[in-house]
Amino acid sequence: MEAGWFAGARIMEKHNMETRDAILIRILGDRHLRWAEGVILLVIVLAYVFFPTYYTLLSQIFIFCLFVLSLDLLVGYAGLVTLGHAAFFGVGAYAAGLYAIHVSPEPLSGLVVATLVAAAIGLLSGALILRTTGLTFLMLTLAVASVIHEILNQAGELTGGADGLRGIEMAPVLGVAEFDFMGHTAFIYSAVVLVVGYLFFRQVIRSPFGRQIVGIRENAVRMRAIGSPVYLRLLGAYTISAGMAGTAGALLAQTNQFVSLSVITLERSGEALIMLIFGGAGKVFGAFLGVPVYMLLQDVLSRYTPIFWVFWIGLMLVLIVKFAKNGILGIGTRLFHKYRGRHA
Amino acid sequence: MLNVNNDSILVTRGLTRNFGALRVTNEVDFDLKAGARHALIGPNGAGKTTFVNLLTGILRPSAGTIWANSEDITRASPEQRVRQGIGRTFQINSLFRELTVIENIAMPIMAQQSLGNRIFGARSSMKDCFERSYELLCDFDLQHVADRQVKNIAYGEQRLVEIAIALGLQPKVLILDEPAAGIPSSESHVILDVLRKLPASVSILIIEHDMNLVFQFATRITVLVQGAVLLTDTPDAVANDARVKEVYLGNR
Repeated sequence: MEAGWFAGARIMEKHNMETRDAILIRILGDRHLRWAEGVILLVIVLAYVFFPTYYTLLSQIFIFCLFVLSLDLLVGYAGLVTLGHAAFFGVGAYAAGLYAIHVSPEPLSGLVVATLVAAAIGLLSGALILRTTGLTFLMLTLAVASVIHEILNQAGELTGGADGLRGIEMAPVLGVAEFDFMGHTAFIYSAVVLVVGYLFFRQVIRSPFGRQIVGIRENAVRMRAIGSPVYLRLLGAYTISAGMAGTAGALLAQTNQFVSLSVITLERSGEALIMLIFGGAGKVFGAFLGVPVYMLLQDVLSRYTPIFWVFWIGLMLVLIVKFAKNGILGIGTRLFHKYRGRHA
Repeated sequence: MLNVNNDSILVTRGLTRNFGALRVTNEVDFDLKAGARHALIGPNGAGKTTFVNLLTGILRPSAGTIWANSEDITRASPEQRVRQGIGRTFQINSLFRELTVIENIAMPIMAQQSLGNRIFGARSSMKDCFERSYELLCDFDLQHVADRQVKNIAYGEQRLVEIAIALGLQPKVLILDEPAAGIPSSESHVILDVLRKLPASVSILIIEHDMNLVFQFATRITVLVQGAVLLTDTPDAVANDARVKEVYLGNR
């Protein structure tokens, strides 16, 4: 069977080989991402050096970047639109909080445990609801999130119910870095976890698994026709994404040392979706653009128009969905290509 | 178990499918020989597409049996049949529109090599997949659009990608559901050229309306009328058969 697909398969000319290699590098390669990765790393370092008073806000941005990145895997890559992703963020947050109080205040093991718990909940709920598609699926994600929200609310003795989970005290990271008031440790801790999370995400979307997920987004019928187990692949993506969201939630619990039910609301799921749409869904760096832009906008707008800021966010969302389908990143890419086209 | 000739790779006996009171496939006995170039023709509504859907497992038969390589696959799922080596193309293009041509063709190659569940340590096999994918698209003369999004290439080229995806699975049996659909008959020779280059080891069942293409390509033709087999014979015999002429009424 190795002999090629066609009778008398052609011998490739040297010229052809060179074109092939150029295309393969473009499709498989990472070069075009390198500079963007470098810029993001630089921004993090600059923020660390120049904005020590904003460490807490910046850590929050990192945490949301990780959360939105996990959402991107579902919405952007697998094509599964969900309104219940905050459920996994919340599960991770509560798992990390409870682990710190009842088991061990050691942060790294807490992070791992919270990730696994969220992934397990993702696997279980995904196994049920991924049998459906489209609107039914969307509604079921909402339902699952509501159920989990209510469970956490009712289990007041364990979770503190509407008062939130108090009394979380974290041990120093790796036994040396104490969580401080200025948020210095929280900043570095969240940044490192974000980078590790991103590297994992990148690995996933570049792997055969990740490409098959995109294939399912593009054409699930055809994926079935080429023998790919669509349901299992989506379940895999759902579980991975839930785990990542759990990591983000755990980070929030550990750095804030407090968890409230607000981590798991519909607003949080919707907000994450808006951040992703702002940045650009299905793009590697959509989350890294959308989250800071949204949080900055929210900060500025709510200061100048404390009553109407939601309106302005909404208006911008409508404009982006209407005129810039791929978000800010899409606009940027288009401008870049235009510019390059003119100077080529 | 039955009198299947050993050189038949896909066999049906008494294959029947009812939609309510309507019998769309009526006790079809069909043999696809290894390496065959077999066409299935018939007027509109003859049940050709239903027959294909029964073969590929999208529909379950009401009665009858299907064997692939003398193995009973009547109850097998579409995915299992793909693993048995039965590939198909679609009448209406079923592509990954936002992806590039090379990525489209790599998709079945990844699936065929069972790489789809790999997240770690698949870098080199992935490169291999894409190299094979490029090789395959060269065979289809698609190298000039290799890294264009499929939705942006010409319709005729999309038809070729449709066939290339099915071929990427390295099937033993390839079912071509109207490969020239939407192609003006003046240009169907492009499709014919590609079909003629397909490896002899692949057995082909082609459903097609373009009679020029069918009679130039197929070495054996089955005529389906109202869900039942009217006859199976060589192109010449079919072309001269009085009953076929009656069914097609001047169509050829």
